[in-house]
Amino acid sequence: MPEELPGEITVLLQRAHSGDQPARDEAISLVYNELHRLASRVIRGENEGHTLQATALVSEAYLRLFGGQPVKANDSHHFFALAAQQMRRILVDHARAKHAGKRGGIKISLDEIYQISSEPDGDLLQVDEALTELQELDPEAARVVELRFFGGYTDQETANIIGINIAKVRRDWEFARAWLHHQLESA
Amino acid sequence: MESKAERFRRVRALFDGASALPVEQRAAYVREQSAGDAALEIEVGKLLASVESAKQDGFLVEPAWQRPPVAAPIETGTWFGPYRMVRRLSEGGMGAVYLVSRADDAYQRQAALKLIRSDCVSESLVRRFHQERQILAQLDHPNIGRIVDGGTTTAGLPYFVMDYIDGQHLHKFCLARRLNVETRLQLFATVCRAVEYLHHNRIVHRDLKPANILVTNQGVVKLVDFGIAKLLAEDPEITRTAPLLTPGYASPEQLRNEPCGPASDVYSLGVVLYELLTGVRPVALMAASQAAGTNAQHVTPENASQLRRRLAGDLDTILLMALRQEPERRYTDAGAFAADVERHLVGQPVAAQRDTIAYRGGKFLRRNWIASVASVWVVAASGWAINSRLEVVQLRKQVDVLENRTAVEIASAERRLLSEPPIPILARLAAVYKESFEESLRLLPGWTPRRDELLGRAEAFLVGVGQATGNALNREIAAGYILLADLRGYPRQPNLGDKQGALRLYEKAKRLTEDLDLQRVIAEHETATSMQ
Repeated sequence: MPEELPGEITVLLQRAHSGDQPARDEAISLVYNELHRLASRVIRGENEGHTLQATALVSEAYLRLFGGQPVKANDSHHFFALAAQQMRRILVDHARAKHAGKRGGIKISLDEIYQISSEPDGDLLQVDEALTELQELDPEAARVVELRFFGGYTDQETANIIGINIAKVRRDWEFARAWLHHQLESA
Repeated sequence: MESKAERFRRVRALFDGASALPVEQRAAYVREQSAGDAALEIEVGKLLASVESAKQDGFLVEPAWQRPPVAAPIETGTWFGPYRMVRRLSEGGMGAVYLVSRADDAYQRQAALKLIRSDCVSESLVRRFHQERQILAQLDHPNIGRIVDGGTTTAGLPYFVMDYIDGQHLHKFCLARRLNVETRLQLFATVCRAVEYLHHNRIVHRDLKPANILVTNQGVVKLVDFGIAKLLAEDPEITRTAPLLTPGYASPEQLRNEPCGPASDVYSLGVVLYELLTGVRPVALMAASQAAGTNAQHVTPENASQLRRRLAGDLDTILLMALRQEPERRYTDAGAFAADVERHLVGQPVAAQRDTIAYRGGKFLRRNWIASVASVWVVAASGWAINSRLEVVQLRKQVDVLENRTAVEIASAERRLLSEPPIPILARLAAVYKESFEESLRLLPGWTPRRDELLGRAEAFLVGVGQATGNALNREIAAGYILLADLRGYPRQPNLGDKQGALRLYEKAKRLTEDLDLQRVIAEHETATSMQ
């Protein structure tokens, strides 16, 4: 178990959601550290029997951070959204470090274990860059991409997390995917 | 000059508009809507074309963290020992499954062959597989797809050969045939019994999910893919393990990588049953399936109200017992789970216990359960897709508003009965019940104490009108009873599912009037109601 008391994350998420910036930063670092630690453990082969999917990593981080406590739907939504953001950050940091010929916090090459879909690292960075641009123009569609692509959630889960209906998720996804693809192709 | 953001909004709007149209109409739509703005037309056209090219490239289809299939593609016609590959059936975490045919002297036999991915293989696995496949092959149960053979490819990859089951996933089968709750429960009990057989043979399935529970066209349940996960999970030499669990269905102990026993299968079975009945998986986010809502759309309102009644009692208790966090507090094995479902089916008391002190996990689950069922009712009745709990909450608010309106109207009618002419009061009351009350039923079908009370008060009011007016308004009062009867149980409109109450009111209306039109309506509605 993490050192933090179970329940702390709940409090932090609630405060973060009502606009408390330090609480938000703390929640982010809690989630980031936990995910990063789990990812590194999988990579070092210490996590036998663990699946390598984003959703499984997030599920485990969730179990550990909340200590099996019942969680209000709202709080877990915040958590899952935050987790997707941090999964994105871990991947992108890693790809960037590797791209620059340096090694980040994760010592062993991620792509020995994870495949970054069919995108090599360079492409992943481009996706991230284009996505950042899309965030400015269409934050909702960008959010859908973050949850689906980096968080590994399904359409339905994405809809639940954002609190919109699934038809809207699909429309956003269709648009965002085309838009990003177009950006990458014309880049 | 248009800002970048404004420009983007126009592009997006055009894109969405065009996407909603059939492909062949899109270009014309975009041209027309662009109204001579050629740059806009081209930009949207390019994006629409990107939809297709992104699809073809598989762009962003796999989540960023997903591991790719490692096994090289196998070509049709490849031989695995005596088995010849016909086509690929599916690709899973541990490897791909192929349809193969075995060309023996006398006859050709089809089978399913599961080829284990190269990164899931170790020497000891192969050795243990050879030891255990005898045990696996001896298993013989009408609801289990047997492992009939196994071997190793020339490249050293082990494969398992299983009975080929030509069937549908359990959930799809239930959807396609629009099975009612009763039949679903019966099928599910059969599944449990098959898992019980495995448990008696000291095998934990570990990967129970709809995709591993098939139903043939004849309606025979066949469990597939057992035992393999166990072999892999227990292999000491595999350090880089492949996905051995399916997050939505895996038990908490599996997620925590702790030892699994029969109770882990009980948990997964609990998820399967929950989803079978509600269309969504219990822990909303860990699991909410993409198919949520699809299922619900196929549940008829009758089924939904049947479900609601059952939910209020044992079924809920049974599910809570199967889905407990702690393995030792669940049913000990699939047999005990099956027995409880069977007891429920014949109306006997179930063994499952509700937690006396509202257990925290249970409470959490129960909240979700109620929310999911609520969404099933809603979808069932309206055909709308309900996609988030938020919408359910909003719907409940709307329902409250509509019911409050009805309550205010009946209270006002009661107050005015003796001081004002009754016909306008009746007319207004009827309109409110017909519109507001019926609309609330349409949004969220089913019986609630409050609805029962609102209909009861209206009925008492009609009795009061009869007493106050002698026989002068019998026709109007009879019409009122018909309206209330319809709301209680007439199957061709949203109703409370209270068949007995409806029939009683039709009877009351029948005795009150000789009006032929009304008598005809009563007879018709009575027949439809009693036949449901």
